[in-house]
Amino acid sequence: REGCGGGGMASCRRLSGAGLREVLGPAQGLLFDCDGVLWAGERAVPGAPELLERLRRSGKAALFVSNNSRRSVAELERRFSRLGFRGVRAEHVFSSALCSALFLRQRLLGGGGDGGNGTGGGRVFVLGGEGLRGEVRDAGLRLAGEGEPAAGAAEPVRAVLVGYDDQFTFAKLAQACGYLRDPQCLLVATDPDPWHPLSDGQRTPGTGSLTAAVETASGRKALVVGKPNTYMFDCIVERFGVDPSRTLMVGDRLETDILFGKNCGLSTILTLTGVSRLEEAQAYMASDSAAAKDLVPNYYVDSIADLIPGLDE
Amino acid sequence: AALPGPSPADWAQAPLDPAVRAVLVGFDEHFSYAKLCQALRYLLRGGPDCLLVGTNRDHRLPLEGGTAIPGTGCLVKAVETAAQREAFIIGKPNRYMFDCVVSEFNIDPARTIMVGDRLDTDILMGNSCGLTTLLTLTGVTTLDEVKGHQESDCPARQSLVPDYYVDSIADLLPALGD
Repeated sequence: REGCGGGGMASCRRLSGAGLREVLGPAQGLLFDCDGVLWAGERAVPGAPELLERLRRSGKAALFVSNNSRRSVAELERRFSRLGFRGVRAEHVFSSALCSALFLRQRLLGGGGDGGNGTGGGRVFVLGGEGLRGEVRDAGLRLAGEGEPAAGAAEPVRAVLVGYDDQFTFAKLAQACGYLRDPQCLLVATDPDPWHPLSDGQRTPGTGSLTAAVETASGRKALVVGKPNTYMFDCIVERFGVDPSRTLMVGDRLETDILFGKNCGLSTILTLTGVSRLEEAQAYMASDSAAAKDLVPNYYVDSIADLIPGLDE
Repeated sequence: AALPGPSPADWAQAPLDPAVRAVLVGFDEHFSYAKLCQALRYLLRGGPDCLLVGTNRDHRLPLEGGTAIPGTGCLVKAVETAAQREAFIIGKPNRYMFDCVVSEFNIDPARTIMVGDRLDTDILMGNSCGLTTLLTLTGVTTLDEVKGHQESDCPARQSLVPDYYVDSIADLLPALGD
């Protein structure tokens, strides 16, 4: 059995047959990315709902970790159900929207509900949709409105949060920069993804492209909550106490999911129903660069439905 | 052109102009996610046959009173990040504009002075093109910044150091005859 993301390079082996049982047998749980793994657009990957059901019956945990900052975890819970996945509750789902809100709550409100100086932590200027804004509010933070003066009599803005914002404009970029002139104001991004696939093979720009604009204008580097950074794994461990040496990471994007697994000490499985192609993984494996080797998955499957035979009947 | 529907999935269905062979990013105070989407679509459709050009990389445009608004460089970076491609940049410090001047006028770099207020655009271009460079202090740069670069060991920073400086270009007048 391959090492769990520690020393040595992963070797991108197809998981099947006896290898499948050897890898899945000892695992206590699996972390799944969502887009391109469980579903593509409005369509569940064939066999994915059955896989989750079989995991449940095998007594293995299934948790979900997604860089998608558009939806609240409540919306995601409904989406799982609508697409045919049974038994997935909001508490099992870790989105970059939720984790960014938790991160900001920690940094602005500290352990309790106060910023330590009686001001209640300050406000957050969010570049993003209603799903992201709702998670920030649910974490007990107040949002800065749009079109307000950068330095008003209102409570100071203590953080700018860049998420997926299909209503992004130059004016909002300028407003964010106004707030970031205060060196105490944090710059946080939900995820680094440069683009996301659309169901017809086209691409839509991701949070990473908007963050690049804000970083360039403000001269600041954003703190990125989402994969491949490990903060979302910290949130998972805090809530469920998973053992990385007994947990597998399953994802479709080498630069986020597989690198995330490596960074968190998890063995990784690439599924080919999403963004990354097998040739890209093989190219990273053949590369001389040390950084490229961290993007090579331990294993790959054509689809997560291929994991089903590895579980007990 | 009006975009069909309210969401990016709708925008991705809008017809593309078949004649487009370049995406040019300049200063655009009406920049939006929708425009970024369309830029990405043209670049993906055309691949290397669709040019990606940026007018310049300035991070900020200073306004009176010490504030600033985001510069073109921010918008160029957004498109480059989404498309995972580097833009060809026309403006300083790249040398394209100097090449344009040279092709129009008979310029001898050894007898030409570049005058500017920004180290990372004006002075860097001048130095890269073999011009004598003159920094004026009426703009964004302070003498302390120059000293910092001058004292640095880094060759990249050394190339930001001008040959000369003046407090203002008016200081050049006494050197010119009646």
